[in-house]
Amino acid sequence: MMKALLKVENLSAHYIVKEGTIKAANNINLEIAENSVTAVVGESASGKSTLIEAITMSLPPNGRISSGKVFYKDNDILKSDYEHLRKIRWTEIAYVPQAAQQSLNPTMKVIDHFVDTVKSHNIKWSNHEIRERASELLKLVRLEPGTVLDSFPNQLSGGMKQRVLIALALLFDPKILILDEPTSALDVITQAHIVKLLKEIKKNRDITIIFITHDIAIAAELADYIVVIYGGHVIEKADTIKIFKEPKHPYTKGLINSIMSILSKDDEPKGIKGDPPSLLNPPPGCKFHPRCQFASEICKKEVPDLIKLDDSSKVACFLYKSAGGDVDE
Amino acid sequence: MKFILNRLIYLLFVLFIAISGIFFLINKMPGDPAYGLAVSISQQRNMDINKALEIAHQMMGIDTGEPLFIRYVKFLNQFIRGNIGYSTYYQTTVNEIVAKSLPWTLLVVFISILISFIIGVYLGAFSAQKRGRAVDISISFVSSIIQAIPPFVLAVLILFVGAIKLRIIPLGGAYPVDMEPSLSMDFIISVIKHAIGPIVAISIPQIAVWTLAMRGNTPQIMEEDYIRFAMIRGVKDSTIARKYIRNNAILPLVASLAIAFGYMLGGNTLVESIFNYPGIGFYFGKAIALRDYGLLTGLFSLIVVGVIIATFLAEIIYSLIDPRVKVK
Amino acid sequence: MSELRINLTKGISLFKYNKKAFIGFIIILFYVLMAIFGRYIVPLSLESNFSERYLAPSLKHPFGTDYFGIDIFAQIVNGARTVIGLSMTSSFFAVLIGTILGILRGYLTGKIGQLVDAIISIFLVIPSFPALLIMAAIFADSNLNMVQISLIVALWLWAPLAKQVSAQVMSIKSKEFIEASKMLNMPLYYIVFKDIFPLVAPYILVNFAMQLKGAMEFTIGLMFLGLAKFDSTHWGIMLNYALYQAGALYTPRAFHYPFFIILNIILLIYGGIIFAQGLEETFNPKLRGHE
Repeated sequence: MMKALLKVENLSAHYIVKEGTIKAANNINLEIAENSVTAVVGESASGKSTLIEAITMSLPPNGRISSGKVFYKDNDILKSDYEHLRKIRWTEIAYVPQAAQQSLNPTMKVIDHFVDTVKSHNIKWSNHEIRERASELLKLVRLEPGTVLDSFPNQLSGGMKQRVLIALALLFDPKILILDEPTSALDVITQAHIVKLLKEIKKNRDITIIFITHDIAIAAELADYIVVIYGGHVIEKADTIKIFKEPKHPYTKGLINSIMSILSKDDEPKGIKGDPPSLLNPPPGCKFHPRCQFASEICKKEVPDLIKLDDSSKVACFLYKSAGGDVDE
Repeated sequence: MKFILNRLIYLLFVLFIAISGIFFLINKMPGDPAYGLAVSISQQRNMDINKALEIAHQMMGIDTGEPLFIRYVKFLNQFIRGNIGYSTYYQTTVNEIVAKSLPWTLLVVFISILISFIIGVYLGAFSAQKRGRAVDISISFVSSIIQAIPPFVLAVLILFVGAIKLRIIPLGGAYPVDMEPSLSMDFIISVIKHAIGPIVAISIPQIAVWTLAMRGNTPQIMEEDYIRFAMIRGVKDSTIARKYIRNNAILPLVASLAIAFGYMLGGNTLVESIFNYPGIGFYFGKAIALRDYGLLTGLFSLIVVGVIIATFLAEIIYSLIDPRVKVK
Repeated sequence: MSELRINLTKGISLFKYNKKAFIGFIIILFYVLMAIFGRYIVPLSLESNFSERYLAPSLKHPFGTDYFGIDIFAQIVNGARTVIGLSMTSSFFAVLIGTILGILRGYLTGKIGQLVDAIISIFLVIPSFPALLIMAAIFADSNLNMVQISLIVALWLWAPLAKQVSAQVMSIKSKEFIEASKMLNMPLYYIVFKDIFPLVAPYILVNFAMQLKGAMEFTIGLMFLGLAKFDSTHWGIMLNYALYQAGALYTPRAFHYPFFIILNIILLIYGGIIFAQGLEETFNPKLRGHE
């Protein structure tokens, strides 16, 4: 395996709400290899965004990181002070959150978003250089710099705004680009544009991409690795080809079968029965056991560890045995 | 475009109702609107009151034999031509009085609004940033206290402290009587000196209003996605506070700014009266005290016109800022 | 269904720990008690005593004496009756007119609804203080009583409330239980008083408190300008005497005369403002959420 650029160890995060505590990320362990593309897949409210927000330390005010470490280039980001964090944000790790439609300041032209970002990182570019750089990036995302740079956000369409955000994210050639649902809330054609764009970025640049999606088809198209999240836990991680050929976790099997059956249209769709777990009052043991046809007694009591299998994929399920002691906690 | 036209027609209708309202209110009153003028004429020229009444009616263009409705039509006709009435006390047209008083009111109102808006927006944004801390609590407390001071009371206090105790501002007028209006430095300085009292009296309550308004709509802005995205981009806090939070929080206030301007044309009556500052409000106060109904009708109509123009501007500004308004 | 009804009871209990509402309430209560009982405790003697002119505050005269040597404290206490009386009745009338027209505007559709809407809009646009001054000038010589003055003041206060109430009514009239009442052919007064009124009640209460500021400012302003003849201990009239008749501004040792009048005016209006703010925070959960 390649060197891990980002390493997450035992990360847990929760939200405090009136009704109690939402445990949205539990004991997460992840390694992201340099120059790889990883898709984080899961249903809505499975804790995908929380994981990313915890890693980038951008949880909403009621979110807390309760434990864990996030190593970027062997430094624990969670321990760094705000000023250090502010400096590595965007220069090293660029994170484009969901809700691209409202992420640009309505009172500022597009170009000023570039200018502010450059000036805030004390980079000595002249206004002209910033404009050049921004134009170059906008061309990369197939936008016409002449008109877009001097437009206000409300003059752009949803797909254009999403592309502006991606261009903005590439401003400092970051090592890691994190995207939360880059294609949701867009029409099919624009979705296809964005996917194509991300593919090009992946091909032409030294960049590590992590993106969140609930659309497993997009994950299949773009990602080298897929991380499946369920009920705030990582339940499976494998490379894309393997996971499609031979999904391990019963939930992943269900997920992949459900889209395969749509694609092949043979027999009736094999969707997963039941509802996703509440993160407020999660079931004990494996979070998937109430919906799992293979559930046994142990699944109701204990949370399975994420273990490494012989084919180097990882799964958190009692149906599998670890490949010779190499247990990830 | 249709929206703007609709609003314009609607506001003209409101203007018409307001002017008609005041006309009938005054003319339906028991007593003769020309009586006040007649008394002063009869005293000046030592004349019989009935004869003086006749002259007064002529001067004011009132034909008592005419039915009220005809007088109303004449009044409207004159109004549309821009002739908004005749002052019985000053024995001149209201237009003339407006011509010499409006510039002073505009000067005071314009400077006051500018000062109070800038200071209020700064204080409000600052207060919102420090929400819950001692500075914020004291700013809110002081603003509430200021709002509890009626403007005329504040004016009295400023006059007392500034003109009587400290003797730094004059007791009245827009410039010294012995000075010829010119563009000389001396004249400009003395104009500013005379305007300071009213400006401070108007600005202080306005600062409190803008501060509280700005402080009130800032938290909402801070929850917006673009604030979070700016933080994620590593934009400096000071830049976020200025360009992202403050500039967006100001937007809804810009429309109120136009309305405030309109209402201030007439809302300064007491302040201008207390400072003896010869603006619209001062003459309005005189017209009330002297029961000069011609002047009263004319000035009130002017004030309503001002408010209506301001409201109209505010609506246009608002529809530009918030596209959703147009749909309504 | 009765989210707001619950809000109302919740509001009353919250009142206990909303400091602003509580302090505001105490201030207003203090002046109301002064208005009711004050004159029995602090009798007023209007006999002039020039040897005691402009005495500084002391134990005997807590606020000092005025130009005629009359105790200012006693005048303030006795004047509270007309100050509180006028502003409370003005607010009451303003709230009454505002609520009725607001509910009508919100509930009625068609021509009558539009007419009510036009009336509200006109009163919203016309600048209220100049209009009030004109009406006061016209009626100044006709010795109006308290109710008549209050009505003139209320006429220029009610419109913003009517607008808010109508918006509120419009948003609740489409709710199911009102649809149900309509389908059951319940009479209009039943729908208005049993279904709608309880829901807008909290707004009315908040607005009553908010109107107090306007009502106090307007009535004191009128009295100050001498546009309404009234009890000479009304604070507005006292202030007029202090500043113009007695020329206290120009007499250094008379500073306490206007000072204590102004102090009481500001304190009373401040009470009204924070009472209204506190009530609004209590009833408007969105506002409270930001605290």
